[in-house]
Amino acid sequence: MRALVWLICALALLSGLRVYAATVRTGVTLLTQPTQRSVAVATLAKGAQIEIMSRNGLWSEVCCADACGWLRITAISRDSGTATTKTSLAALQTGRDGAGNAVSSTGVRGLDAEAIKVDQPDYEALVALRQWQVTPGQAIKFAEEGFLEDRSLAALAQPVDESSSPHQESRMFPDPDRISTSRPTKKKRVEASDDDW
Amino acid sequence: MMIGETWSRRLRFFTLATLLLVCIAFRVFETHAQPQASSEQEAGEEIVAVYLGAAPLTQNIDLNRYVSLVGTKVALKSERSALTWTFGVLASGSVNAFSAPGGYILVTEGLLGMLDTEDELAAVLAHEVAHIVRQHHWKIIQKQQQASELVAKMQGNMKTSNELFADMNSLFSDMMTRGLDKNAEFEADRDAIILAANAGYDCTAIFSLLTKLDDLKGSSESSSLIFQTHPSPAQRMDALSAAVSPELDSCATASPAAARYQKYVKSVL
Repeated sequence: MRALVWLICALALLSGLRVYAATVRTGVTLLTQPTQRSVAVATLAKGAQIEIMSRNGLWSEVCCADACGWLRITAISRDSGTATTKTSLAALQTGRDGAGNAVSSTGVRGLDAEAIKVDQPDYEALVALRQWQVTPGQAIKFAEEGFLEDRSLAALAQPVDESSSPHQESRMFPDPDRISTSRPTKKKRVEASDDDW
Repeated sequence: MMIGETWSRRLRFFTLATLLLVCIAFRVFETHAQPQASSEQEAGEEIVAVYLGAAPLTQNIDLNRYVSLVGTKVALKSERSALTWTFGVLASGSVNAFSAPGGYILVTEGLLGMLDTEDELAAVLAHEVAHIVRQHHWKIIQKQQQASELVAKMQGNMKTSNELFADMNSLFSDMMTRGLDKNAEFEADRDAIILAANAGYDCTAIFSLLTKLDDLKGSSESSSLIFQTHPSPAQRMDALSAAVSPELDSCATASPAAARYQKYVKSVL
């Protein structure tokens, strides 16, 4: 059994499991499961340092110095710091967001600012591009083949602490009963608490 | 004889005057012939042509068609569903996605290779659709056009058509290489969540997408255009976290179509 644990740790080290440094926006309770109805594990003070291990919908599994558990993503502020490689049995037990495959521009010059400024426009390719348009009917049919079901969610309001955007005059969504107004009402931001959500 | 000479002189004068007026009118027309975008569609086409000059379209027609099908479905949930939406895949290994006024959206093969699910693809395309619906780029172009005309009038002369064309090209390339202000990007992210959700996709896939972008820091892609033209992934996730509401619980799950991505993208790239 001990050998198995060491083997798992070695594999984890080689695989380079990635976690993300972050802090807690406000005092929150760490939960055992990604649901408000689960058991509390620990209480974190505003500004507490955590590491994000994985995400499940609007919940993230995090670890602090003493415990691991689940938080709403709204309670988390990601640091600008770098992802770190860490191995732990707790990390091994959780799922992953997907480490992502870093793509490098291999050989062929990447699509960079220089290329955009220097290269000549290609109008023939623009004509060729149009032949790949699809009709709304084709798109809807493809969605149905994937068993996608439409929803009617309302637009998200601009958070209070974001400065005004000059682009709010345009309507975004077609449902007149549920779209935001041209100037979305700024909700008063309520500090998240254990009773929220 | 005298009368004939008079009429002859008058005729010559009239002819010369007419010719002079025609030349002046032509010159005025030329300077007023707006080589800059007279419409949103034209501006979009100019911008897309520049991108296509920098990187070719993919040869994989099925791949491009798949992106078009997903993107068009997302766009149909917006206020501008009546636009003719055009999606393209660029044969570039760099991680990038672009939108242009009038309904044009381009993504790179590099970006597609980074993603894992159709939900994540829908999130990317929804973000670009949002820029077009909100007319983020077009409004900047319009303001710049008005500013250029005002400056020209104040200077008391009209710019030549070549100078106006150069002005617009300069604006386009600046916009394409420096991006929009951060609030426009945050707004597009918020809109993307709802667009993708209303099209049937996982509304939280944008978080895994941004996490993957964050992972690129330190790699050769860290200087990619996508980082020059957008706020950092961490900033974007923080902004989204502040905006999400409990109603999103209903869409915070992988869609039934998520795994299709393996067949249409992962197996061919």
